[in-house]
Amino acid sequence: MHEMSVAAHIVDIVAEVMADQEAARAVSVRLRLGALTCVNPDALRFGLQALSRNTPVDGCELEIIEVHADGECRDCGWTGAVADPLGLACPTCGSTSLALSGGRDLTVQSVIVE
Amino acid sequence: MTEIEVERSLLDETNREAAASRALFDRHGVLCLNLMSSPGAGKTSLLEQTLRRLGDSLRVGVVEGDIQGSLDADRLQRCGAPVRQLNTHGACHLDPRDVAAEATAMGLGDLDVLVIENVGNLVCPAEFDLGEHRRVMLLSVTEGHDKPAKYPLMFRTSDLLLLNKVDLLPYCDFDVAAATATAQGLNPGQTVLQVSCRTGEGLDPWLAWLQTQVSDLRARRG
Repeated sequence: MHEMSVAAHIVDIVAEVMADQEAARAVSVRLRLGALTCVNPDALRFGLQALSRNTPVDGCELEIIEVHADGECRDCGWTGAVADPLGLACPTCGSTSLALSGGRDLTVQSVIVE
Repeated sequence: MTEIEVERSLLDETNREAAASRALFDRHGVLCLNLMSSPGAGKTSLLEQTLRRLGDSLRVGVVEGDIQGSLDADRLQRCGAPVRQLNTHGACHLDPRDVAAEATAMGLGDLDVLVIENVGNLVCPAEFDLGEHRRVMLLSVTEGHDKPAKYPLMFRTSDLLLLNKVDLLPYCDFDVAAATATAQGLNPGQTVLQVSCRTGEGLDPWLAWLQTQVSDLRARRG
């Protein structure tokens, strides 16, 4: 549900870049989105669309680069990538006792303007 | 077309605000707790019992987060505690800057403990650092023992888990051992206590935990 405030922040950043570059149009914005941020890409796209309407940012596409978290099972020692924030069980033994790191990225990487 | 490098984290601002809040609480020697649970798990009842039992031994203030209304703040005001109501008007979580503003308006100099009673929600509040020193979460036995497995993030980030409404255990299928094992699997450092805010059972260990956190904070400040 907090996708709207994230989208508002992205619109602000894109508008700032456009003003800096004196660009007529923002083509796309590239976002790194960590698996543990609980931000839903569809809801975020919808938010960006809704909030950019009638602003210079209108029509800007959102490109999402998904970033996984690294998991390590405390029970069987499995290590690997965790992509789903809510299904946090070890794929080998099913234990929910996973130590997690990373996956919390929520970063505007770049903006393509013309 | 030109690609402009930006590299700006959207969480940086919130995290900076949270760090500033924590520094503010530290300066005043006030222990800040972020109290979270689903709606109806007993956050306000826990605070009512806590305020009554503490009497004058610790001065506790509450920032009461709700989507709308002041029902909970009214209940706590009747216990004699300083309370500030924070309405989110539909938002599912609190913002560190709003919390710090309410805490400052309340007067941090007169407090030992500040409790943020978060919006009832097992998902979003876990995502946002509000500048607290410790996270406390309540899980009531009527919610079912599968909740730690279904909402792992909040259990993963809480320092203390209170299993509330244990007076109802004879009438529920809640498996205390299973819930405790899953929660501690997610978060091996988490303390789990059983309480009933209705009967008062188990509240002394909770008050002792609270007192220990206050003493630890003071010891850290030197």
